[in-house]
Amino acid sequence: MQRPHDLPDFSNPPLDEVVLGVQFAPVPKYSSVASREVWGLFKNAFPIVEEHLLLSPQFETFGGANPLPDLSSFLEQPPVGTRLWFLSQDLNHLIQFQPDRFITNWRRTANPLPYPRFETIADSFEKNLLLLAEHFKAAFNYQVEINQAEVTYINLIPVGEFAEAGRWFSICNSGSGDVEAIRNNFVQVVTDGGGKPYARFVTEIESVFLLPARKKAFKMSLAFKGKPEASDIPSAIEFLRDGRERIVKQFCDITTAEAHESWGRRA
Amino acid sequence: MRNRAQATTAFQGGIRGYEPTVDPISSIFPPQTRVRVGVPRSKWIIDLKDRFDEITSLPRGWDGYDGRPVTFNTAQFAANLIERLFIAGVPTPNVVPGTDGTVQIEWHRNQYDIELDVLGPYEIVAFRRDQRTGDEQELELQTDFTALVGWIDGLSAEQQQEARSM
Repeated sequence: MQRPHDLPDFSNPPLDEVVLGVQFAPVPKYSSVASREVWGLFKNAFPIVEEHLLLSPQFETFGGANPLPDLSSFLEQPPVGTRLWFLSQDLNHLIQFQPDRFITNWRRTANPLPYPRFETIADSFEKNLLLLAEHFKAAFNYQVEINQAEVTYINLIPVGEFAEAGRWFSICNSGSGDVEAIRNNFVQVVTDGGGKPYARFVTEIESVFLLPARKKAFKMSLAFKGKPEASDIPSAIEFLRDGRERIVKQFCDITTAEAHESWGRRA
Repeated sequence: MRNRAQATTAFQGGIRGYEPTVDPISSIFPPQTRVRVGVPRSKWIIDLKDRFDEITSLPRGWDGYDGRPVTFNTAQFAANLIERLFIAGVPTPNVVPGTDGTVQIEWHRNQYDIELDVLGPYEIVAFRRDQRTGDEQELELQTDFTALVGWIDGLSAEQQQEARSM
């Protein structure tokens, strides 16, 4: 995958985590005993395993009187099982797997290293997803049918005071008073050329305290999620690529020129 | 709020070392301490919560033949659809499991029928029939339910007409 030449670029972006993920129809007849074979696909690069709660299915739908229904956990009896984390030795790279999800995370906080860039992360994600799909085909005669994809960028911006928001964000002006906390969220519906909605863009800015010293910072999450045009892997990758471009442009649109300079904007 | 945070922590669970000032659930909670808490919002979903638990708990062969239970994902999608379409004052729909693991959402009122056949996530066949005029309409839907709003409004109008005639 090649970086678009007209996409804004930064030498030192405040990026803390990049997440690419897909959701697919659950693998029929999959059970926990098969998870060892799944780990075996990635074990060399991801030797550390953790278990976590299953993620509830997410669906981006549109229209209706309630704009943002969220019933992600309203049923009493969720499916039995676990979400597995496969971690790289340096803890910067993570694969999350459950019978209807495949996610990869790059994280700066675990072990500060240069950001490997989206193209590297996306190429690795695609390679690993293809590996998983081949395994499902061979072991379960199951063709992966992707119904949801998401790309999320999470930025952490250390600050002296939360009242500095206007210095970093062009959409925030907290005035001159002492600011205890900030939260600014908005959701945009993304439509195709025919005006048909197919994705959501979620922007969240909030004040946080960095541990362990409790230093003040802003956390800015930019998430693009929805249903790819088709259920195959190339369509999902195209959806993620599109989402990444939108995220970078949104990042530039809602942050200030002064902030861009401090992050080393190159284009 | 807790529900929304849980929905997003899927992609943020890997972040460590920061503490939000406003919503501690969104990031600081270790995954193993998160609790599944349902926060149904509309009357329809409150009315149907037990029904959804029932249809997802059906045993294989529940219909005396080879009937399959409704899958968790299909039930979640159907519930999401119901919540999205909710209009106060319109009666709660019936939810009927199909023998092939699908879900039907139905309103039958004053010779006006709406049936939404949820075959799976993003696979809906919607049918409307006005028995008085003979008008019928069928739609195949995936993500955009805007067309159904008018249908549900029709139920609401029917209700108002009924109230006026009483």
